[in-house]
Amino acid sequence: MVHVKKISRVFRKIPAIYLTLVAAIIINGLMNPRMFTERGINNLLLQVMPMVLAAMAQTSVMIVGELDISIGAVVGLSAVILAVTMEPLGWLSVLLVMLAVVVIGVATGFVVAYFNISGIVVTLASSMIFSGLALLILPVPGGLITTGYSKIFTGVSLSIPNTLFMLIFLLLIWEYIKKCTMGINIYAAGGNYYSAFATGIPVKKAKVLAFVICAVLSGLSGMVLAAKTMSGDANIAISYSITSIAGAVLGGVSFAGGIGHMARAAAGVAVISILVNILFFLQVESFWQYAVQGVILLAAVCMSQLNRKI
Amino acid sequence: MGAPVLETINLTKYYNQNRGIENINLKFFKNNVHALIGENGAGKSTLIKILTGLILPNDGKILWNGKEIGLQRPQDALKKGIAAVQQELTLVDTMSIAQNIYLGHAPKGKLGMINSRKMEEQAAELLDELDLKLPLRKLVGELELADKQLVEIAKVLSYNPELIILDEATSTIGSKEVDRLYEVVQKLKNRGKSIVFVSHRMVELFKFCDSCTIFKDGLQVKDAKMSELDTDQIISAMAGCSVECSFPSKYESLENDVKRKLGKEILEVKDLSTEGGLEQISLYAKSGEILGLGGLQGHGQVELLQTLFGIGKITGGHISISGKKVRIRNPIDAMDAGIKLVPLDRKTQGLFVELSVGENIIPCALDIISKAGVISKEKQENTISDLVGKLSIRVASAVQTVKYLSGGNQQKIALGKWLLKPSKVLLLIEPTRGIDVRTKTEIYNLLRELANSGYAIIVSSNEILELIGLCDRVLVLFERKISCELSGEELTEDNILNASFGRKVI
Amino acid sequence: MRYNSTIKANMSTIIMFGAFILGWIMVGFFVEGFGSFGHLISIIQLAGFLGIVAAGQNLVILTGKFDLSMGSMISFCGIFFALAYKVWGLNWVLLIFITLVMGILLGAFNGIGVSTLNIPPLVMTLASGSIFKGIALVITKGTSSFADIPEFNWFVNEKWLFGINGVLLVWLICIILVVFLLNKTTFGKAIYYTGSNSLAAHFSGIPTKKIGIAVYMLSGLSSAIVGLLLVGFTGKSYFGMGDMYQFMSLAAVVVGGTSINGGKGGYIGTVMGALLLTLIQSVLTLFKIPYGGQLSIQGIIILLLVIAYSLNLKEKRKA
Repeated sequence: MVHVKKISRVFRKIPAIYLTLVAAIIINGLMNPRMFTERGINNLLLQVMPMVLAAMAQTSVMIVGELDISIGAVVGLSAVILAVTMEPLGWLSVLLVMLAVVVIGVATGFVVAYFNISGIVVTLASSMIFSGLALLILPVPGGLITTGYSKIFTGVSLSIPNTLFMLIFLLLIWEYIKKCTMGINIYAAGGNYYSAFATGIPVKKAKVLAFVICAVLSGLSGMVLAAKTMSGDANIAISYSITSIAGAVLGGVSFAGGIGHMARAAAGVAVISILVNILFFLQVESFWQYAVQGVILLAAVCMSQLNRKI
Repeated sequence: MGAPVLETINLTKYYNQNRGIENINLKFFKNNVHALIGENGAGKSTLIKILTGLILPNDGKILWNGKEIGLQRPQDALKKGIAAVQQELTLVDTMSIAQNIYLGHAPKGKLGMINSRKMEEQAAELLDELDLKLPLRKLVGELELADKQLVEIAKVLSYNPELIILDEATSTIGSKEVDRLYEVVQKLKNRGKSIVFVSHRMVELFKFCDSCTIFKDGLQVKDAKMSELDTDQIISAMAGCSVECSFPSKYESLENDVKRKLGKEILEVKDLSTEGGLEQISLYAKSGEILGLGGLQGHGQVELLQTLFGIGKITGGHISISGKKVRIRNPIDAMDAGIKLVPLDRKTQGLFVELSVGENIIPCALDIISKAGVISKEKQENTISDLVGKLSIRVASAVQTVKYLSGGNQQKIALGKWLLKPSKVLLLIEPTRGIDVRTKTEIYNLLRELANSGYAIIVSSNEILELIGLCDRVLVLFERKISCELSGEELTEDNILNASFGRKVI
Repeated sequence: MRYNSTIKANMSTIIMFGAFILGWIMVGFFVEGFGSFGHLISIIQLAGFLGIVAAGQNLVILTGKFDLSMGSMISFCGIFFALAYKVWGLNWVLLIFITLVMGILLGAFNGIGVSTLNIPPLVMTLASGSIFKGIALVITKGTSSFADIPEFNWFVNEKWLFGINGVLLVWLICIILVVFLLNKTTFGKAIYYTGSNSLAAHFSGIPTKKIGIAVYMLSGLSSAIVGLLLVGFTGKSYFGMGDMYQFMSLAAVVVGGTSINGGKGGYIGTVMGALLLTLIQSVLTLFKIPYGGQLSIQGIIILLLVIAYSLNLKEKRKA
């Protein structure tokens, strides 16, 4: 009896989304036992990683109280730049992508913060600009990604997928940022913009920083995607803008700002992705995907509303 | 006294053509509590905003310990040692109490990360000095307003300022907390701080303050020690009118034939219970009378009036208008029954601050200015200009945005918009909060006029003098129940105070 | 004095109008046959689709929310109409009414979720959009349908009314109705109050929940109308036929000067926005600029306009 009580107390402390993720992984594994091999785990991680990075990017912006619907376009643009410049520039192409996304992040954040325009509106326009740019550079999927580069992300070190190392590393960096002044500023600016301003916090700079973090993570997402597909495709990540929001919401990130954990958003989007797998194995026609995703999103939000009332 | 900590010389600020303040010369000293007294719009807020770096003056100098300084941003003021507790809180609801207190200046640890343990230790010390017991990790959003205000004060004190401004810091906290604040202010004063105190409540001004400056229309009218003045003198200097002139005569003083036409019971509430905790409340209101709701803040007054207007769920009892039972589930039901409410917070509940004066006047009377859903521009314009004139709302034009109006004019609109259609019962929650004396008087007169024309009026108020001066009868609420009913000779300050604390009334 | 303030208040519409005229004249210089009246009518007709969708979006945005399911609703209604005609063989006029009612019901679904259940509009309309899209996909199994209804196609396509075709006619009626609704009716005023401050609106006796549901129903209706017109125009229906209108409807409203926060703005600006965006698109297509370039340029123009509005607003605040 005592054991049951202790176990349930532990369970109640763990955020529901992690439990859901574990359940999803288990169910997926039951349907596809090959998933539990080293290769299977690596594949699973590779499958979810680009979306996970996108969800983490969106979280950064949501915490500061905004929304970024250009994430999908930036991911595509990054992959395209990489695919096109890898041959001539070699490793410099990675530097180029990183530079590009930082500029994108600063520019987007600047327009939102200093011109005082809603993030949704700015990123609506910017997503068109970046999508368009990506399509101009690479109208059809193509380009060249070297196997050397690809192996960095698709490879395994010490039996652990490299992408997992990367994810843990990024989450640790975020934990550090959260505890630094700038991280606190982002949470404060999102929690109550006026209060933070009146307290002397550089709220505009905080917003810009949040957008820069978002852009960098989007760039990384594009880099992983390029490694996975070994090509550049402008349109491949268009749905990421929306899915990243869905994952963040499932992970408990608040639209109002000031609340959110990147790890949970990552788990949220992973659940969505694994769900698609499960549906596939249940031989549900891919047609139903959209409908099911919609219903799940609704159900998740309804539940969190009810939770808040309780 | 010694040399002043802060001195202003000929400080002036104009908002376009309007005078904010002009030629203000003040001296603030250590070990002293100095009051800034004046109606709303007299210039106190302008002065404070300049001293805290939120706005820049057009002319004049500020000396800090003898040296001239410039205050361009909030950080400048904080760094110098000037901090203010405003009525509008600067707390972040999604962060903890400790985080809020040290927001922007938390102690740092390794690698530039914030040292949470040290922050919580320091926060605990600070709260100890204020004699506050609050769980440091609790999110500020979960606190009551009174506690939030105390966290705000702790936050200000965490900067260890030399000059502390308390701008209407007591307007939303109860008397127990005011006493606690008094202790804190005394401690700070004895430690050499200079304190600036702004309040509308005479009792507090005399209790807390040593000296004062009275403002009127942006000018400095009087400087004196509190011991040299009395209430009448202060009010005269503020507004040019004494206490007695503010209240119109009551129901009792009406002609008998007029009284006969009125005096019928219009509203009856029986055993009303609500989801929010009101239990078995019964009361009645007659046409021609102004009924007051008194008691300490947060004891159910706001909830009762809101419930009568359909905001909040009724779990038991019933409401009757003119003898007929009515079901009130939302504001529309209430309006149909003839009940109107002027809510507590005019900026967020009573008005559309981004819209114009005209647009704020018509939302409750759309059916009057339209036929079959189509609005007649002529009727709209006429209705608006009629009301603006009747209430003497001082605006340049009806298209002016409400945001830029004074509190008094705003409240007139929040009230006036209900007058376009006939009503039976008018409910008002703290209608004169944050309003200058002249407009207060206008509102009192208006309410009495409405009562005389047949309305039943219920007013909830925190100011005992207002309850006594304005109302024919007063119900005092204590812990969500009616503690007692006072009228006639029983309507005294002592009785209301005793009833507010649940004590028996003689 | 009054003249001045009227200009300031409608500055955004004036900028838009000016941009449209300027663009029109400039391109007319360069391209043969461009500046003709007939061509102008063609552009306006083409803009009709976007204009009608944007009307629905505009109403929802005025109440402080938005609708991300419109693209899916357009596809759903268009597909439903075409398929029902083929499979059930009902009278096409009757089917039009059924489709319109369907659009209203889809919108009501959104409205109830947002207003009654308090689900954030972003989540609700994203989810419903997904659901509608999914159902449409299941029905069509990814294929397109042909809906050849000669009378209907004629009504929509042919310039049978003084040189105007069905699309333009419907849009003109829509413009008249929406502008009238917003400016002259109590319903319209209630929309503005709800968007400006829904709490104060509630305290003033305005039925904010009902208004919330009503605007979503209207956006559903506008989506259904466009779905029908698209089928009439192209003669077929296919999965994803409404997708491009989703983003563009938001763009047209924003570019037209309506505030994304609600309570401020109007449909005339949105009409101008729809016209401008359509003009830009057709010019870019004419100059054979690749799709990617078209997208980027449109994005840049939208961004510049939005920045211009915010600067204009700052000026207003200082004044």
